[in-house]
Amino acid sequence: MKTSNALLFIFVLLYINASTQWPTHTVCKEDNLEIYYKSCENYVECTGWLESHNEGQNYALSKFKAQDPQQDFALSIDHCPDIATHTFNIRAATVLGHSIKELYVKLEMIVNGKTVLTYSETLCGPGHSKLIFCGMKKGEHLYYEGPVTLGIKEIPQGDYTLSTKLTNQDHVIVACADFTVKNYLDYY
Amino acid sequence: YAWESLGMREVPMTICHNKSPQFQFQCGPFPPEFNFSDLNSLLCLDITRCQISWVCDGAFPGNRQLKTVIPTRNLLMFLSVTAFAGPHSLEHLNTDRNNKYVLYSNDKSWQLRYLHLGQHPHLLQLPSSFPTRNLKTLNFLMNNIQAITAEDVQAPQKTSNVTLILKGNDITYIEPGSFQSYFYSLDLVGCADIPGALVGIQNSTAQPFWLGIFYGVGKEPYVSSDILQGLCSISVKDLYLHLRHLRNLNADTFQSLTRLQKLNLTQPHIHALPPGISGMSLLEEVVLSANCFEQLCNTSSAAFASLTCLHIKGNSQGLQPGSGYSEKLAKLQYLDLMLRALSRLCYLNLSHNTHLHLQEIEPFPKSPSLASARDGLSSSHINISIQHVFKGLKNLMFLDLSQNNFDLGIMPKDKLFQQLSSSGVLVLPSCKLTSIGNQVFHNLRKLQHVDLNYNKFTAFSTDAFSNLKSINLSCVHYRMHIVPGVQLVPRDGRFIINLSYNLLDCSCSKIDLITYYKQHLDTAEDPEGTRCSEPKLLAGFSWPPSHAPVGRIRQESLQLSWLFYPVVPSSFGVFTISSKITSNCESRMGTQKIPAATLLS
Repeated sequence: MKTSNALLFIFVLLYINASTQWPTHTVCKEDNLEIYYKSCENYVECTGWLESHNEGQNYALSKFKAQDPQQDFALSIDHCPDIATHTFNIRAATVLGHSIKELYVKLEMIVNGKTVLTYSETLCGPGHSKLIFCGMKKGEHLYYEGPVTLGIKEIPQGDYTLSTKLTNQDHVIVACADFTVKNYLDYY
Repeated sequence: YAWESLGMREVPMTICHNKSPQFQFQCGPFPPEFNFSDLNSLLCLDITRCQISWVCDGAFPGNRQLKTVIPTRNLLMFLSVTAFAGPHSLEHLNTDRNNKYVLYSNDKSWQLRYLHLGQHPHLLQLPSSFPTRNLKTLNFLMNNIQAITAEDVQAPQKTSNVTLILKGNDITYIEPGSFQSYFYSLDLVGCADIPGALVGIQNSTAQPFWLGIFYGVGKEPYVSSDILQGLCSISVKDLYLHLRHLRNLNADTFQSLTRLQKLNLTQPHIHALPPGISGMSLLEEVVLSANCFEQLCNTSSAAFASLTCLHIKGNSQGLQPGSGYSEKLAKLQYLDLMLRALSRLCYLNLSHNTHLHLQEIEPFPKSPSLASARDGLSSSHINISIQHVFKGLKNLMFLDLSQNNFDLGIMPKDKLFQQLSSSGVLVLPSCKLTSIGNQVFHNLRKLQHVDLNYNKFTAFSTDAFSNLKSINLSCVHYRMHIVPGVQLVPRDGRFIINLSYNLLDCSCSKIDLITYYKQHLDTAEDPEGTRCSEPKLLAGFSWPPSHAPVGRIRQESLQLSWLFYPVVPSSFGVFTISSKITSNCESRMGTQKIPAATLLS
């Protein structure tokens, strides 16, 4: 009985391992500015258990949950050097794994492994939907094309990681990615 | 039960009695003859993105109890008219571009209360046969609807009190007089032509009427004062105009808004409300967040005699109390005067301001008018190190100090909260707190609810509280050690604790807390995401750990959650590990005379 359970467990582990790898995407690759991103490895949310009954008969994988392994989110910046200005245009798309009645974004700037700056904002709040896609349901296709205004005057120069998390009303991570930024743009 | 990404092609027999299975994302494709006849007790069916193309007659033959169907994003080629003949009490249908089929596959006995028709069908009109008798919510979020005729909105107006959501549609035309009904709520956020929309809905009633706009949609957000005159012919209680840039705002604009009870003017880019506003005697709540007021007195809030809630969050300027008085004392007087003018004010929210000069008006005015006040001072960078900052707030019942930092992350032992003897609710999330002194809250004899989530406690003792009924400690810190105090159970016996998203010590030394938690599982809020950090063999397992003594193993539900941590070889030892820990703890538990029922739970 134990062996069967263990085998099934291994199957689950292997299955999950196979679905946690996300590709690295390039957003900008220019002389003074490079931005790459990769969805967080733990984006695959999985809870699972094995159920066996007293007699050891009906083994069944009775609960298993993982994000669509094909699901990632797509992002592009219309004109990369524009990020030196306060507002720039992006296009972003994903398939929502969870509803976004409320949506919160949290950014962490990580330099040499240490968080030096955090920033959070409510994108869709109760009674105040700033963005057109607020209120979309699980399974729907989210596509945003429009400006992004930074909460800071300019994006910092240097090499760093921006860890981004979007969570919904249930504190569930809707999207999550680490951006690698190499920014040596001149600011005037 | 969630079945995702499994490529499942048939309903497994093992879930026959499950009432709400979720077959979402990448299951299927199901064969055309597929049906749910085996799931007799089905209440809710989620088939989001299941590659369902054909739904034939009687797809839900015996599912008479089925109340909710969520067929979002299936590329339906055909859906039989009688597909939904089985369910006799369908209440909630959440679909999208398939609505063309779904709307015609209805049964008059449906008791549909909620219909969501999301994304891009370009369709508003419901078929005349569509059952609207029990309809409560009709959601057309982002449907690319541009024009609305009277015929289009006939069906939802057959019943009154419907919530009609037309948010995110680029509406440029509404036939005059189309809406002549009593809506519970009407949402036209993002509508492109406000004057046209207002003519279309004249003589209607909508308690909340949403007329704001979204950020970054590229539409003309400007609204002049005379456009808002159109609101005179609509009966509105709550008006939301968020993100609309209001131009030429004057006192006359407000003449058509005198019946309002709530007005939301978030980010209309105004520096001041016009002087001379009158007749707003019913207004109870005003939201003036994300504006550029320079002084509190610019909000003209004295004109709103019944105001109970005033929100001025995220003001882009450094908000000064007012001018015309001599420095510190003058500001104190201003606030005092303002409060006197607003004698019924009970909620003042000044959170998320860039530079709120509360240090300068510290201590709070000794104002009896703030007797029943609730204060939201979150993220306001208050100088909390000033011990008497809350002086004069003896009757304060609710205090929100979220996102304010305490020196060194330590809640001081001194007299910070001494004045707040009436406080029943303390909201302190994201304050970077690492510890709380044992005596800090002892003066707060009426304190019943504390929110301490998103802090950084490494150790936490519930002895700090005397009469608590609920505590939220979610996401506080990895590897937090909790010492339960005797006060955990209040006198009336019910205590709610939220420990979600923590990594806790599951070793035998913490058996007190584990036992307490297990005995009071019904009072634990959202235990999901709470895991063991210690001992290493149990790291990553659900908390509280299950301790089934060896020899009596009923391996009912061995949780293998958060499987990122364990490496494959360790999986062989799962049962062994579980048993080992159990037997170790068993002897300890035995000495503590804990009922066997607890051990088996």
